[in-house]
Amino acid sequence: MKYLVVWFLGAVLGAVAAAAALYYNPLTSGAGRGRASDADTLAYRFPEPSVVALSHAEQLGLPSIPDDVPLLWESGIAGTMLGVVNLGADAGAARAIASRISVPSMRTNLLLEGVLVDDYWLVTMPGQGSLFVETEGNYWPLLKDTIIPVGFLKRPWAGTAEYRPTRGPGPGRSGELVGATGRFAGRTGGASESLVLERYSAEGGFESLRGELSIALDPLPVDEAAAAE
Amino acid sequence: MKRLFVFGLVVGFAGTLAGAYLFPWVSYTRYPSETSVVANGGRAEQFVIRLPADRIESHVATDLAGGTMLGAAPLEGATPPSAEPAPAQVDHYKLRDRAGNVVGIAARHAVTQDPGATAWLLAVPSRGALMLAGTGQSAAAIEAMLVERGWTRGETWTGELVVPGPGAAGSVAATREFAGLEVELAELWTITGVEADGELRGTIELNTVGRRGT
Repeated sequence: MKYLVVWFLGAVLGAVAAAAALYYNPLTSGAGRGRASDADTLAYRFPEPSVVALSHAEQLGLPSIPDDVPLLWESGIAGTMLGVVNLGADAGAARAIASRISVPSMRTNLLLEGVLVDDYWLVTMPGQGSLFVETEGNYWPLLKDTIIPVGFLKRPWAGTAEYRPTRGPGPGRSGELVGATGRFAGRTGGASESLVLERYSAEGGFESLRGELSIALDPLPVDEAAAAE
Repeated sequence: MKRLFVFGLVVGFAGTLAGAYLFPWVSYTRYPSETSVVANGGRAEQFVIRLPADRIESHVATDLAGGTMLGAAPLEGATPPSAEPAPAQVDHYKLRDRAGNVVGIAARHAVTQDPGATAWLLAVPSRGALMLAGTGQSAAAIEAMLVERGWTRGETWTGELVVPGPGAAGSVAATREFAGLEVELAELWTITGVEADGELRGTIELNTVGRRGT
């Protein structure tokens, strides 16, 4: 019995040490891809004035917008989130309407990858066309630095924090412009998202957040560029 | 005794790390794909949207400032930007398979002109995402057909109106299980009623045929 207790104590201590190592794991805590210098940036503010609708399964204390929007509770879509957002050069000057479907990734693991979410964006600029953008983001840094300590452990918030979750699936750990229509038809490119969390509290959750979706088109082939001119 | 403690420590440490690596942190209910093989090759699959139950959000985006985007020069063959862009009808639905299980979420962006350019984003968490573009049925066209069938704005209407889409949409991108497939999507609206507030009752069938790309 004594041997079993000693072994068990060792195992518990080992598990606690491993949990601490996972929590501060540098493999899952790094910032993702930043905005490319030649990217066009479409900004939004959460929750107001940019978010037209937000539907989910009541996770992480996020609000439902509007209040009576149907929840995504069915088991086939559990954990997914739908956001409908006006995107602009800055808050209030919307240039595009975007539907964003966020799907927690089955590649999520806390040892090597982090908490991964696949984001599918359909961005439409009336009169110009639509852009299909795919990004894979690691939201473990946001969970670790803000949501767990402030939201769950009720610690005071340290202040404005910036996150760059995008880490794929395109080359150079960038998101991808995977398809386009209208004037953008045939174009490809990279994409990334950055978030500046300006206010967060245990009671109110995400009270003020500024997000940016940056899209950088690949250069035109030389003959196509000449034709475009 | 000390060795036993260290052994327990190592087992606890390694076991927790292995668990963090191997545990399926995210999983979705995977329903069998309701597909059939079509005669000339390819795989047919029908998705269904039941109205009004599956509507998540709809609105007409009228307050966009417009302006140029990305400084993009259109490629040869691309549609040039229109001088007076029409507002966009933006709809979001829960997406069902033919058996009626909710398997995904659909976003539809359509210009309000008739017939209008339409873009679909179909996300099925357990399988991947499909992004399609083409010509879809506009709300104005459906409304005009309902008026022809005796519907008056502000009043309820019951009947059956079947409205096929004016053209098919083709896939412009696909991920995971759908990757490598060239998919065509045809809309079929079956409207069985209209509420006093204009809400439609009925179904939208999304009939897809996917072929392995060359």
